[in-house]
Amino acid sequence: MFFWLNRFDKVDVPPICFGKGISEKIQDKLREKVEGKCTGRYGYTILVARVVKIHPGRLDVVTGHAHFGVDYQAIVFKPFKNEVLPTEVSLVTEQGFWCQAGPLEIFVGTEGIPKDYIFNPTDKLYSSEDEDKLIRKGSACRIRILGMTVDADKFKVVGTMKGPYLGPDQ
Amino acid sequence: AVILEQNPRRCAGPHRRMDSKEDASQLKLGEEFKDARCLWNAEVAVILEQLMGRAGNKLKSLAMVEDTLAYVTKFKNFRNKADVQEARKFAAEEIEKGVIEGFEMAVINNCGILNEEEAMELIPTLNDKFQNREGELQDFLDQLTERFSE
Repeated sequence: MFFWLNRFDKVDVPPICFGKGISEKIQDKLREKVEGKCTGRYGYTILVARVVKIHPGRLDVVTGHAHFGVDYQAIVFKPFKNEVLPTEVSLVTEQGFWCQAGPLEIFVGTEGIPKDYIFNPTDKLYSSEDEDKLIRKGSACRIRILGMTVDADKFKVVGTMKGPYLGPDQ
Repeated sequence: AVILEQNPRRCAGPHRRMDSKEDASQLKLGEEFKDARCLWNAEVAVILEQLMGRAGNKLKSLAMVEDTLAYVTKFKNFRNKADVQEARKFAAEEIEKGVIEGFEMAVINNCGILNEEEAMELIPTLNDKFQNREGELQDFLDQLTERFSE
């Protein structure tokens, strides 16, 4: 799910940036710090939408850097267990398929695919028994998130398409 | 005035907090997100298009933004900003009345859910709200989905 989130972060600014235009440099440093990054707490930070307030800086007597607290609003993507969301299939294998929802990659293993779907190794797709529904690269598929862990820079998510109203072309 | 600090640097690594109690099927979104505004795919598309138009290649997360924009464009239900705003106005009234939560509304929108049975199946928290009130959820969905323009 995408969220509009109010956040606070501290930014470290070296002395060379002090002076005119420091506000822009603080914002640049903030974007470098959080944009495109993933944490277990906030999920994927897509981008910083608006800087609300830059607090007065505090000088580090050891390094000479200044630390600024910044209130800002960001667009984030955070997945949740049991969340249902539309995805786009990116890779199909005999062990299951990978699909994408924004920055999030989800793996659906064979245990998450109904038994009546058959893998076609030539065309690299799964097709339903009546060949009415296909799971192939680029197709849309509605998934429920079963579980996830957070690695250094991304979520590892497992999903399923078993269940009513889940699967392709929903 | 500048305040001198002795040891401002703390040992910090990437924050990896994982709250195993978070569960969308019970609307348990954790402290950070329980009051946060859920965005619809169409809203994210509008915001990203505007911000990309302004910042362009200066974005630090350009690849992520482009992937996200492609995704929300594929799965949005509203053609433009005006349609989204009109639907959001309707949604805000229903959320204010306590008919539905923001997260539930966003799932309905993003998945393009059209009927009552589908909504109750995919969003279990709607079962409690609309139990023994057959037809009310379908009325609400009809009013929302008639605003879809994609």
